[in-house]
Amino acid sequence: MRRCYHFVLLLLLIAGTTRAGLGQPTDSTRHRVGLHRLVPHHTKLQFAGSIGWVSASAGYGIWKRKVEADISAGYIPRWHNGNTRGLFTAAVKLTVWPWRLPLTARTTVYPISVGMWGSLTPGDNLELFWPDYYPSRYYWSPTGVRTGGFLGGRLERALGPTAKARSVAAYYEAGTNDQLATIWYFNRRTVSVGSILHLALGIQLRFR
Amino acid sequence: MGTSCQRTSPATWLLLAMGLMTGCNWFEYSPMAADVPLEHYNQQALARLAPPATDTTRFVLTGDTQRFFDEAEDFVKSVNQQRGVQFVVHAGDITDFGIAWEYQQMHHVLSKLHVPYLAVIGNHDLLANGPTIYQRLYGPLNFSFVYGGHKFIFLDTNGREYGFQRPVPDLNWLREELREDSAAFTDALVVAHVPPFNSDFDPRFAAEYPAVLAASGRVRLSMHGHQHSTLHYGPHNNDGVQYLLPGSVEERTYVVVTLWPSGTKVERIFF
Repeated sequence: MRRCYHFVLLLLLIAGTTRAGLGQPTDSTRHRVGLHRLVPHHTKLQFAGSIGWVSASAGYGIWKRKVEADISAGYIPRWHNGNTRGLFTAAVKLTVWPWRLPLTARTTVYPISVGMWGSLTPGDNLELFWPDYYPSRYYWSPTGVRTGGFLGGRLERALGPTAKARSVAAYYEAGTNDQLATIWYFNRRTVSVGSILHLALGIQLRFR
Repeated sequence: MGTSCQRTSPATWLLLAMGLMTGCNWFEYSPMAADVPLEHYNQQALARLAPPATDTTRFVLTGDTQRFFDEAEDFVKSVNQQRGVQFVVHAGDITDFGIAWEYQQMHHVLSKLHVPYLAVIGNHDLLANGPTIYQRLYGPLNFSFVYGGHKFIFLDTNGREYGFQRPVPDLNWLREELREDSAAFTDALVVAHVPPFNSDFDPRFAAEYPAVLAASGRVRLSMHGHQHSTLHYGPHNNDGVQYLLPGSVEERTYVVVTLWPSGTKVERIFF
């Protein structure tokens, strides 16, 4: 089971970064037909953000790229997990970019993003379903399942016609998760918003 | 001149930046990762304990701070006004979800106490990577110390968290701790999160636990949290043990326990 999970993550990584198996797309794939419809539109490499020390994702831009859907594979090395063993996190992420402000001919600012994610992190004592030795509804959501939300922004630079990618962008996110948001909600007098927010930094490469 | 800087590749800068940001708590890599330093707060607390000046020992018993940060802040303020208290005993459930953020934030609140505090592990503290986090931050799950001739035994009794499959509580260890020659002590007090009369205590040991305490003949109190119940001070089902449950921080109450050679006093405080 565990091995199988790692295999799926590996496939995701390959799909996101090399788009192997579908051939190198050319200009004709801009109007994607057939299997090429499945080729991701972009890939992201992210630092932190509660879905891995580092995570790689593949995703699609829909509705004139106002909405992005990503599926990501993240890794937390053992030295960030009490020197026990590394953790793998699979996440789906939805980001909305309502506005774009062209700065120059090639540079665009996306001042605000709003997004949410859901993640699965299996491991020792990290459950995707509660074991049956608990009475029903004994605890909250299983320990390996988390959801979260964030706000962010992005700076995008279009690349020249000879470049292999269409554009490259840097983005940031500041967000929290369901558990920390709950703690904050019930303790607004002593728990500050700042203390439950965490940052993510990433780069995005948009394919041709 | 300056060429070495120009030659540094963006990847190197990225790695360097990630390395620097790694130590910064602006970033979280996983909510459930045991990303905490090695501390052993319980040992640090023991090192800070002021030696007993008289034959009277006075401590505060609380529990179940969980996600009640507002109440925990008020608890700390209240305890800091108590006179003659030598330390605070936390009967478990420091956290609600067993995550590193909660462990560290709750310790941040409790470390404002003017006296050291010692905590036993609760069932919520064992969720997710909680076992690793507790052991890195607080130390062993079962431990004991002697203060003023009283032996305080901290015991993991969260049987359900192990699916009732492990020997939890470790009654062999408890028996050893209560042996007359194990260390110099006149009587003993046990601190364990789940009381034996709760359904989360492993039913295989529910009758044996009070029997071990009663057989030793030297256990003054068996102190527990978990039930968030209002004060319970007295025997239970005539099993030969004197129990003390302080109520929880959520209920804005705790107890002050005073021990002297011929007596025990339990005082309930509301804050």
